[in-house]
Amino acid sequence: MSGPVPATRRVGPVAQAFAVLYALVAAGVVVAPAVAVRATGARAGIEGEYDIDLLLASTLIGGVQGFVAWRRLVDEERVAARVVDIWIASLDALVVLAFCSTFLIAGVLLGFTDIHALLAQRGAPVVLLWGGCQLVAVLLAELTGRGVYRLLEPDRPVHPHEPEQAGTDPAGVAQAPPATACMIETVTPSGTGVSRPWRKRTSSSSTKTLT
Amino acid sequence: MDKLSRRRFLAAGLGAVGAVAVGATLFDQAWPLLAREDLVPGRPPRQTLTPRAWETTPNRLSFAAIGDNGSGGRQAMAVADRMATTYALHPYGLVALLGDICYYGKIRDRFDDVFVEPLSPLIDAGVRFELAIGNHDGALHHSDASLEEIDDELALLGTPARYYTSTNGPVDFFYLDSSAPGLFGPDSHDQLEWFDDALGRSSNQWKVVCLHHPPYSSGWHGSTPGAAERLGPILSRHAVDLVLAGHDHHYERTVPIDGTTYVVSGGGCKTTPVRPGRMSVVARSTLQFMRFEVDGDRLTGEAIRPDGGIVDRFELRAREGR
Repeated sequence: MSGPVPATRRVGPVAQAFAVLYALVAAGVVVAPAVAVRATGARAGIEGEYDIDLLLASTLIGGVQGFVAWRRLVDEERVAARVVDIWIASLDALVVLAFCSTFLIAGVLLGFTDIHALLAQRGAPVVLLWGGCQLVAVLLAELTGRGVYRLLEPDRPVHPHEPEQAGTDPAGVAQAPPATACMIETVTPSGTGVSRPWRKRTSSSSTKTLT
Repeated sequence: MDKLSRRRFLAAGLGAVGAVAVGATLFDQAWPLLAREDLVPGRPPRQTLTPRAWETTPNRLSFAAIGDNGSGGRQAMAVADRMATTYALHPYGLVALLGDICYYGKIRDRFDDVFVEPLSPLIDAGVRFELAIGNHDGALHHSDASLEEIDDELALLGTPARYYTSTNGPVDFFYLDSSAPGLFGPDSHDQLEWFDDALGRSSNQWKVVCLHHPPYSSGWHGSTPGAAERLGPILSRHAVDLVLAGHDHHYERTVPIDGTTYVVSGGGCKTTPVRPGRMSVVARSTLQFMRFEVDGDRLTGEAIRPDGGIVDRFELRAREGR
């Protein structure tokens, strides 16, 4: 997307903290299904190695999702005109993530039991199926978050690699350049005489004028 | 309201409603369902067991019992693997199936996944399986489809009928149809009369009744309404020693009630919570199966977890005069 790059601002500590918190929640939502499965197995007397693969896969994907979500929030914080738009988009993304990361797996496992059983009996790693479902969930969530943000902030596209502008006020709002920038201020009378106010002259010879 | 404000309102509204709906569903339904069910497919055990290594005499019998093992998932495979390991240590020639041998589909389509593959080491070793039909094998209230499902199941396992008896060494087994039609329907008198007569004719030292729905349970489903009232007098009259049931996905043993010990052994692949009740000696939410040794006038039972841990061990003495 091309167009003018809006002024950026530094992300304050409160916004950073919220972004980190959001990232943790997003990662937790991804890991939760594997925790539910693993906790049951452990409590019910299944030895250690069962379901660890699912937990590891979910932790890895959850970690990546947390980082990506944090990065998205920070980038949007720099350029968004209204912070509330970021959080609306993020809430939508989180809902999609929570729904898909659990129900996609449950639906796929319940819907195709015969195929999965056959594959598992032939030694196919179930963790690929599990991880694949969760990657799809992460992808859908990120598309939702970014799509909703664009809908709400069409004039403030995110350019993740744009450097931050140094001048910010304590509230984090970008300072506009002074209204007089690039104009020459004229002082009268001028000490140098160069910019002496214009006055009507009568014509004279160049010699007279120079002496 | 301008275009952006409308979008903002819509996106925020959908997000808020979605958050409440999805959050409530996840905490209340979805995550507990994942924890309760056994949806992740598992690899079947590949142990090779010595065929017919057990010894059955008129005074001795080793057998196992398992309920609600029909998922074909990882947890079912873990329990099946422990059953094979236990056979290697203490061979047994009979497994009493306490119902629900097939979840997530029809038995005709899933028989290999839920029965043959998990239990192949035992099947190859020549172990016999006897089935008490359960409600996932056919609905609690029999429809045409569920009757067809039951017929398929009985045919696949070579089970003679919905209720029947078998004799193994010193034990007479009585398998009942504990569905609502079986116990309370218009034809239920047939089964109850047959049961009463069969127990009356039984002259063996031990009498064990197997059915799916537990007359006594402190678990998720609880005691089957009316079952104790229907069956209790018959069990008491004929001094039945042990009743084995499934349906609730936990392990539980009661104190002897009118001389009969009731066991719920429904942890074949799933678990549901249980809180010990007034009648409970042991109640635990765990995966497990049961191993029994009958030696003369003593019957020893063990509930075994997939990791080999013993949940419960108990011993019964034969009734006087037997």
